[in-house]
Amino acid sequence: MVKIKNNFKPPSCFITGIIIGLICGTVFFTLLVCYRIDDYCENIKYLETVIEDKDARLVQLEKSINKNKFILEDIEIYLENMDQELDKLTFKKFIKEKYSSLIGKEVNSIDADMTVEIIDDRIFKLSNKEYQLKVTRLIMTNILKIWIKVSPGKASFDL
Amino acid sequence: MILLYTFFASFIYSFLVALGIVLGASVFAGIGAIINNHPPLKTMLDMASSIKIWAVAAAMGGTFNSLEIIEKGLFKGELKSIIKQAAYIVATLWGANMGYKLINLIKRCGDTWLK
Repeated sequence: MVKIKNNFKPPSCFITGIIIGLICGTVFFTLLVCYRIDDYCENIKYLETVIEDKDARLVQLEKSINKNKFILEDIEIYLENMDQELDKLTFKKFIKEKYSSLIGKEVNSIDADMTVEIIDDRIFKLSNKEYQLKVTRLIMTNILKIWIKVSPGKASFDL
Repeated sequence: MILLYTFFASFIYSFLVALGIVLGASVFAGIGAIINNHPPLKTMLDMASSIKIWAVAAAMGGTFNSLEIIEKGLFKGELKSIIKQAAYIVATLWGANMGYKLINLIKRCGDTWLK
């Protein structure tokens, strides 16, 4: 009687299966995400060109500005009582938007009290939570530095 | 009958080999693009369009083989073999182009679904 030789080798079959599975999975996901990645790449390229263009314009504008005048160039915001970086960025963006009109103005013409009032005691809503902003310190040179205390919870007064 | 069967079998082989070369090269180039941080779809399309002619050559089993047969057909009057080779070339061109069109289809689907 002829003995049938068993060629079945479990480890090699398993490894082959894993390799084929990996290749199939990689191919599938490549086809699935390739369009999105291309879209992101296009966006990044577009934004890079926009930044380059704006940088070039900024350099030209800075050159043309009269250096004898004391002009507000930048705003720096320091948040107190904040741990999460993502929330911090959202707050900073919101506050910078409020002060963006001051950039380019002469420092002597900016009223410090009014600058504080813009953001002081404001209530800011972020993901269904309310935060109250309180300006603790303000330094105004060619850079406006503001320290803001962020206290969570509902404010004691209504706007 | 058997000759016709062999002809159709070769025709299908030529078509599918060309299609597979274009699709395989493009998809794996796409994986490489993801690893290298390049745009994958653009890489896939570039690869598909540049490899098309090589897919035709490879699917024909090397350019010289079929050229030799065509030459023999021309100078020895074997019209049948010329037609056969022409059909194989058409099949490979068709396969390679279909591969390119399929890769292009991903872009179109992306445009439709995501925008």
